[in-house]
Amino acid sequence: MSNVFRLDDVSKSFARQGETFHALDGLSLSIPSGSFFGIVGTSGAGKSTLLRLLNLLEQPTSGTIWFGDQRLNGLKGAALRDYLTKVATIFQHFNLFHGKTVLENVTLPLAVRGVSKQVRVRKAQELLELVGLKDKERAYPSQLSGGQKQRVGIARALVADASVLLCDEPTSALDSETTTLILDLLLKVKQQLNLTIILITHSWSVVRYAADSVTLLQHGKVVENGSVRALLQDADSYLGRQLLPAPDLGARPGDGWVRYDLILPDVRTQSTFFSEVAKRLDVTASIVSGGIERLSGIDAARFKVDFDLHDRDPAIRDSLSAILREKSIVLGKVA
Amino acid sequence: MLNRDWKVYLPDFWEALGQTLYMTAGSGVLVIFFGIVIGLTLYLTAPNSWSPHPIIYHVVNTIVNIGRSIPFIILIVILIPVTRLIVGTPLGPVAALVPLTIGFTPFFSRLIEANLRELDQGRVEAARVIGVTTPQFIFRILLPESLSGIIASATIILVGLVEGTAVAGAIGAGGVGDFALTYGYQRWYTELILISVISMVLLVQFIQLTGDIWIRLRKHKR
Repeated sequence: MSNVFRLDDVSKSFARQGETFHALDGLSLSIPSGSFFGIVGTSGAGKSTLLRLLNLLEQPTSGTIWFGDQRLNGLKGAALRDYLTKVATIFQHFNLFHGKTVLENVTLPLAVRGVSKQVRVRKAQELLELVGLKDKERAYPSQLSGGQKQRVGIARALVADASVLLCDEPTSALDSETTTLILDLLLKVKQQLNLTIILITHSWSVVRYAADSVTLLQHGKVVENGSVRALLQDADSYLGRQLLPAPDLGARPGDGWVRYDLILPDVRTQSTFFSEVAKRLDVTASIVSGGIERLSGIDAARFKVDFDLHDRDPAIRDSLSAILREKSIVLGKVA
Repeated sequence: MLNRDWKVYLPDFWEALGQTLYMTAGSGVLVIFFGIVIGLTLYLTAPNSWSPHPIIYHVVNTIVNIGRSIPFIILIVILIPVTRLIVGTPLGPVAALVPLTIGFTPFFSRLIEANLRELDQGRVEAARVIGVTTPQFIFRILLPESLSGIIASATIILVGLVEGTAVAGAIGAGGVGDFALTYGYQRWYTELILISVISMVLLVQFIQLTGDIWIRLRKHKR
């Protein structure tokens, strides 16, 4: 898969009250085209700065940023405007223009590019239909709910046929129900318009819900990075475990019981997992805690399970480990 | 004995009212135009703004500050040679447009600068990532988004100009202020002072009400 962006050793520092603050510190990252790329991190990790380098609201202090084979450093004027046709942005606070109707907001990117009124209105109406706001074209932003405003933001971003959509905490100002609706919409437009979506968020649930690739930023550096599938299958992955949290509820396992921390990457094809293991070894299994998450379209599960090996031949432990490893990802034998 | 019938001076009053309206409207158009141009310059060239330009910003900023620090009545006198150069005479309503415009533009520029700064950074960045040019930013985003504030400022400045015409009237511009002083104050026609005051109150009310209604009609656009 080709990359839509490549960042080579990118740093960005700001002077703050006489001190230099390194928002990004020698960051290297490739963003595959066609992905729904989630960038997570706490505030101050450098997520916003990273996104602002991609839409050129900021220039890196050092390092190179590539958009395909176009070098983005120092891009300005007509070349910058041309680039911004291909790479659009939506915002946490929507940033719609208050004095313009929904339709005028959505047609603006076309109007400033000299597209004829007839064409831009038709195009804007198509986009408004796609985001489900066809009946709101004459409304002003102040008359819309937060979710509706973000829909307008999405329509405005995509009206000029962008191929990449940058999302700056797009659901952080929305309630959880609206968040789900907006993420569903992003997944839908990604599919229909063949987009690459790059989304920054501090919310694990947003990443879980929508992303197929995830990067964890900390102190301006990439800590971990990969496709959700690969992260889940890597027993050592911190991100993989964050994507599939399993609270530790039960007390310590009883005498002679062994507890495993397991990931089932695809629950639908593994629905008989426990009965199969129990049958093959004739052991009793007890689920201590667990959860199922839909991760980039796959229902993955993580369980903490106790197996009763009391009074059993010691060799059964090896057989159990072998079967578990064959059928699932063993994050660890807890006790 | 002087003729104490104040009604014979009514034709003079109507002429004076016409001069006041002319001076307010004429200087209003000029002040609003130059004020928006200068306010835009201050906004756009300020540090961390759309296209920062420290030299232009500091020069314009200093000129505006100097303009604002000279009392209007003194400014009229200082500007007599300039007025004579532009209009040919320092007297009359047309001549008054020069000091009125120069006197009120700096304050109005500041009001406009403050109105434009109301546009939050988020919308400015949205404009940037849409890829607008500077003229497009000014005419399609900055001014339309700030229009309610600009109307409010224009209302303030027009009311100020009504008062300014009275001051200018004191030194030969004509207008209702001059009329009130000449006939009312110096010749003791209390009725004429009263008419003058009522006409000014009505004029100010009209300006304020028009501004308020216009802003109220834009309530969804803010």
